Amino acid sequence: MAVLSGHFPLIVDIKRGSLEDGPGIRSVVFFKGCPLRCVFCHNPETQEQYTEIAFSAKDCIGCGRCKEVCPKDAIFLPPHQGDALPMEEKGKETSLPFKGSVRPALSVVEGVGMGLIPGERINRDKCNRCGECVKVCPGQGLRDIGSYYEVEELTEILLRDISFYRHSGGGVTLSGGECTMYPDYLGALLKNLKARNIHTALETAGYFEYSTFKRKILPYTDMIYYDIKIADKDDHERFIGRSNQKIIDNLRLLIKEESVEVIPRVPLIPGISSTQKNLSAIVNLLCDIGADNVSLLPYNPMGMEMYEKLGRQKPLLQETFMEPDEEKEVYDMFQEILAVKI
Amino acid sequence: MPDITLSDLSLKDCNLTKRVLNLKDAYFKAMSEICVERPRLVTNFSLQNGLLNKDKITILEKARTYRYVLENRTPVIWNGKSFMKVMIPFTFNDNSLFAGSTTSKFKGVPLYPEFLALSLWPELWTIRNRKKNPFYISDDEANELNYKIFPHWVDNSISELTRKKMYRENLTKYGKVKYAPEMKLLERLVFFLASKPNCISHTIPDFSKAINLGLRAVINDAIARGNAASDASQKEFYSAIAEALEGVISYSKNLAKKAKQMADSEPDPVRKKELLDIYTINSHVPEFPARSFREGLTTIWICWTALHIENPNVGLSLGRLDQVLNNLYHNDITNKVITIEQAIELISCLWLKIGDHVPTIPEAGEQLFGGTGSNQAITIGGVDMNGNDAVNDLTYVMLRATELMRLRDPNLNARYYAGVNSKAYLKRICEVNVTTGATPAIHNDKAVIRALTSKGETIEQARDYGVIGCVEPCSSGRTYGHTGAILFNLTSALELTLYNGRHRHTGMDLLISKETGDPVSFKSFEDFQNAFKTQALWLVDQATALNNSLGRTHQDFYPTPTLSALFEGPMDKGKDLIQGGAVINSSGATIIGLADVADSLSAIQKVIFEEKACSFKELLTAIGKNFVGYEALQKRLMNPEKTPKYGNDDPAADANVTWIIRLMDKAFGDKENYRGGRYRVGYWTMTNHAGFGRLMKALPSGRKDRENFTSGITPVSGITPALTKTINSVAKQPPECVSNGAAFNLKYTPEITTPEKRDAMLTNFAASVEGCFDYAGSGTGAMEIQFNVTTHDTFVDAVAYPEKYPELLVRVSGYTAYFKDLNPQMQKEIIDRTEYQLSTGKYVCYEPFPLPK
Repeated sequence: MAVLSGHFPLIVDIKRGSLEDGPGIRSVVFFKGCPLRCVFCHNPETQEQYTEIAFSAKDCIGCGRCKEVCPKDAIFLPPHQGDALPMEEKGKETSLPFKGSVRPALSVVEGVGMGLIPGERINRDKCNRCGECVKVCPGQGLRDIGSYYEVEELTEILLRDISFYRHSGGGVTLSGGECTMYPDYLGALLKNLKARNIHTALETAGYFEYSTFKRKILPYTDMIYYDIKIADKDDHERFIGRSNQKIIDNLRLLIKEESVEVIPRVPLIPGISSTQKNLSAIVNLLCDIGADNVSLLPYNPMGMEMYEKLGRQKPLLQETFMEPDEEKEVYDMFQEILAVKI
Repeated sequence: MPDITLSDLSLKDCNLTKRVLNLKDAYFKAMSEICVERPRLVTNFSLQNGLLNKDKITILEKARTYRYVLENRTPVIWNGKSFMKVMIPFTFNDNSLFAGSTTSKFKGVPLYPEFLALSLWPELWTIRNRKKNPFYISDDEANELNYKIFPHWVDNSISELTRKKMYRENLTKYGKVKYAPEMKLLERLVFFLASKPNCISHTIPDFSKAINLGLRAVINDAIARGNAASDASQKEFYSAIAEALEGVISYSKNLAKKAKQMADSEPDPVRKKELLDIYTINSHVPEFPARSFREGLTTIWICWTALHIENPNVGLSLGRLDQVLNNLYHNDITNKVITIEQAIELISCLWLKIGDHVPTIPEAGEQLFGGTGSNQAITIGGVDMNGNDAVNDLTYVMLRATELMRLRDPNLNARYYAGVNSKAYLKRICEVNVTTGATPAIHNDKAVIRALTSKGETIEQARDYGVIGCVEPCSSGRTYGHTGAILFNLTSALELTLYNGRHRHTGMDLLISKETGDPVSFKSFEDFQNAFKTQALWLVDQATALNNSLGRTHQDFYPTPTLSALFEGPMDKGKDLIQGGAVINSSGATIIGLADVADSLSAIQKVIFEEKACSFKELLTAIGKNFVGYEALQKRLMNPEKTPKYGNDDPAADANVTWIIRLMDKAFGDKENYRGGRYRVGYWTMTNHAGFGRLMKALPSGRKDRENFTSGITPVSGITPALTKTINSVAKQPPECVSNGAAFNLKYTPEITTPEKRDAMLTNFAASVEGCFDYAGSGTGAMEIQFNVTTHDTFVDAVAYPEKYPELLVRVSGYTAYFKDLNPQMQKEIIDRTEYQLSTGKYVCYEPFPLPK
């Protein structure tokens, strides 16, 4: 697949039957591309706007077909695995395309020994993301991250679950990445959904041009989960990669909009956002802005494998969940001032 | 029809009485005992009257046989002793509110030597010690069967009579002795099974006449019609009806007499009163109209025991009891004759009585049907014949009794008509599924009614459907539709296609059907589809021909006067049910291996013909070697992102399923049965998908040797993490082509640790059912949906320590069973089913449970 960018949004995943991303049973669309670079990002595959290739060591059966088709010679197999056929099969039959037995995937130790991210199979410097290897991979060892759907095509897929939305009070949630990076696409999609009377929600980090947003997206949106991560301007730049001025300004405007339910949301990241200083600053900020509720996202240290699958270093973060009383303390602190939604 | 008057639909303040708890305890403690009373009496009567080794047995002779059995069987009032595991006898205080029993034992195995009872012959001295589901039998009883009963039936069972008949027919046809090919196919086991050698049964009688008019009135009606009839066969039919019903009345009166005798010598006043109540009630019903709810239940119970003297205990079903009994219930409650608690006690006692027997299952049958009860379905809720909401107070009372009892038999089925039945009712059904872990199954009225009307039933008849056996819908008391006549292994049609009509199990040398070409030579997927179609149709020809032959043997040797008396049609036509006396006649087939065959077709279409990523030759070699050395190909075939799979809401894969469903509906629907009705097709597999799976080798879908097939109409486990996708794939299939019912199995994690979580789970549970019954807002959806709501850990623990979980109820594929009774392959299948969490919508991924050796 060619590298797409700009106005062509790629979609990482359409998660259907979700019960965690808004009211009722929902479909959630994860868009690819984000203007921010949170150091604690849970979905690194949604940061870049172009197609990426993920390698999953646990799904690789070591057939070696990817190496055969790679035009850039960017795939390597562990040294002792160069031989595709088990001994007893050799010479019996000519090389039928699927002939070949299992080889173990590159082990963690081997990966480290080769000076690479554990579990890696692709030399990312050489790889041009042409996707030939993904095409020949028989299982789910190699996968394209990011596919393009026409608006009508995506609408059709989302409408397949319309009866579940209706009977559960659910709908569609657009997420990312940062879905608001694609206002034209989003507007068209949301308009289609509203035409069928489907409840729509967005998950956004708030880094968008307000006037465009208001014109193209807001009229078709029922609910917005709006991330407020860090109150301090400098800390924000340090951990998120950009200033939070625009994010705060946008929330200030958005909260005044009558047509949409806005739920500010704070992800709790130990040592980064979940500090006494930051959280009290966020409470003050939200009160100042006029928010009357907030949703807290408990810290989840799991699910960071995607970094390795994309050949990147995992960020160094706390590896355990927050203690229950630690979590409760935070809840209580917000509860005093705002209605906390879970 | 009275409105709902209950303030608390869950009736959570009503609990089991001591009487019921005591009986339930004994019920779970007792092992099943083989009862020789029926075969003894039937054999005696047949020998005395020269009814064996004849060319035909008339309906009157049959009626006299049953009358003799009913009049001479032991009237068991309270059977306070039984045997528990390893044959230790125990006694208990049996003071059920109903007298009588299906057999002479507390939990009995009735034998029908006319059918398959002789299959137990070689096992008479081992069956009490077999590992799974042992049956107790004393040495004396085993000897009696061995010397005095079984020898007379060697040439007189339905299958032997049919075999003889087919020899004769072939002699005329071909001029030489020739074994019937369709019989040979049956004996090869892997193609299809025919259940007529075992029973017809699968039907719902009409109890309303017995309850509202009494059997005396039906007898008088039969006599009058007989006098008016000019046709000799009709005269005989009406005499037979009267004869059979006299037997039923006598049995009840014998129970009454016995109760009186016991009461006379009973010192305990409480017990004396109970016995005198039984005396009063059984003296009156079923001869005369029932005057109270309890009498109504007694009428049903007495008729039920009589029906089981005549019809083997396989899938005979009770129908819409909340409708049939509602007036009596309502009157008794209004007039304060009984309280709701007493109604629940009565129903619980009846539920236990209904479950007082299990079918004859020889060792080999344990593989295919292990753990089965007698599959007596009861139906509640839905709409009435005019389309109005039929859910009443009694519906909820029955739900509460079911929730408290958690029994395998009867198998409860709840109908739901979206928009007519209340959401509170749906939520309550879901709640009972959560508390019991497996029941009731939920049926979609809109889809079922559409399916039945498409087969020619009037809208009123269709609205009055009840569920038979596992999941099969039939108009109650009107459709005689042996719904489980043919169990059809669709994967064998696929194998015949892959191997050019040859039998894979015997080295590919034996030509079974016809040559449809070596698939290596096929140019397109259509070529393959055409070949498959030819093979499937050929098998359908054979299966239906065999069923019709067997049916004609039933016509000559096994008319059913008692069932005919309690049915709509026979009395008007003057014809027994087996001769086509019912208002509606049909026969039913069920298909095993739908998802596995459909996924194989999709794999062939995509990988071989569209992408040409693999040759047919290579595919055949790979499945021949069980994918050893072809792991990459297997991975590719199993990968739902690259090979379309049913259950992933993938239009290409789902279209292949629809293609098969339409093909089978047409193939069977074109066939006429021996009663002038048509065949209907369904997708419910009981435990056969595990049983057949064990026999069958690797498939193009990527499934390996001996692995389980997928149950019912359910997609293969683990295809998708998204619940809505799985449901959509099933819900989009055309209900009019699934008129014999379908079992769609889902597994939900119980998440009920707090009241809030419990309520959230029930809300989402109900929404998932609504979504399933309303595909993409079209108004109809899947025919049925059924659940297991038990944690993975519980199942795994129950495999290791079965004694800890005597009452763990599971939904197999159709009926409910106790997990401990299932064979290991079937236990694995249930453990491996995809489990969804309704708090997140995520599926919970577990390592596959190890395949038993």
